[in-house]
Amino acid sequence: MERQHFIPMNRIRSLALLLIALIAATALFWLVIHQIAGLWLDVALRPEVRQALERSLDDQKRLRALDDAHQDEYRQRFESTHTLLNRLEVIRINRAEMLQRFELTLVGLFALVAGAAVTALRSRARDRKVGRAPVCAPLTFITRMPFSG
Amino acid sequence: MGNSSPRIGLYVGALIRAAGIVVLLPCLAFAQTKTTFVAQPGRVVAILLPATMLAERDVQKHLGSGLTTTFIAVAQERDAGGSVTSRIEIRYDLWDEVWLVRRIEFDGREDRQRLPSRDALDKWWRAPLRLYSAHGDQVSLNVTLTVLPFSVAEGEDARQWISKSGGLAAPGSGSPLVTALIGTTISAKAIRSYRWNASISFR
Repeated sequence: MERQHFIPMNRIRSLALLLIALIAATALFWLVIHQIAGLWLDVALRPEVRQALERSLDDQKRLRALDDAHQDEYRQRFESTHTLLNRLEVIRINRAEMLQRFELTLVGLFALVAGAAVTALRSRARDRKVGRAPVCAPLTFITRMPFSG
Repeated sequence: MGNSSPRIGLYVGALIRAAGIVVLLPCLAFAQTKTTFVAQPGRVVAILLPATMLAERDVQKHLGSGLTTTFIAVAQERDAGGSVTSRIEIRYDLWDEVWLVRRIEFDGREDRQRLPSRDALDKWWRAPLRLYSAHGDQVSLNVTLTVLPFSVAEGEDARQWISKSGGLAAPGSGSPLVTALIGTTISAKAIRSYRWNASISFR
């Protein structure tokens, strides 16, 4: 009777431990991803990048005033830099949402894969403990059976 | 025991303040700026937008960015299903240093202009924006005005750019993962929202 109670308690404890480990690993993964993703995006959104691009816009306008013959060329350069600035600004406006979705998806995937891996390992360990062959158990059993005919 | 009564009073005061904030929050989400609705010939309702709207800090910051600041006005007749949309687009052209503006009213009437100065922009802004065509002699409207920091086209351009791995890859060779994860997140979220209720009589 005592033994019957002891085994489920152990199982619950080990399950809880595994769950805590899984949560901790996911949290650690999120922390790393959060740092990397933020860094990757912020490189493009740094104020220095914006300032350099804005200076380039001013330069093209100044060149237009000094060299009227190549006005179209300066305009073209101006427009391409301006488009780049616009794109960066749109990304800056959406930065928080973009990062959130990126991190949530990666962390969700990690939790799924880690959960599946832990479940597989646990069932393999249980099989080993019971003394069953972990893979293709019924097939192995059939092949080991003595010929009864 | 003697100190407990003022302390309880403090807690109650804090609770009332917190409850007040919770109640007021939805109201604060929609800014209350005074505006005027006018009845025009043909039972058309128009709105006169105040110039102070353009001078508001959030709006002002985006106006000069070179992106298209978009104002979307939605008018809905109270106790009726349908709604109609009017739109104003303002972009500052950094090369020519002029304001490129466009007004599209509820019936599709369009007005495009190239304005040389901020004063000209303010003057153009003050012209009535036609919102709704009423069927009866009286109409009650719920009007919302949303200010977006960039246009749909600019958002789409940025989405395509980022899905092409920062513009380095050849067109069409973008990572589907990046497109799915990041590209679809790009959308113009409102920087300001306004809401008004108006009752207009045409008699």
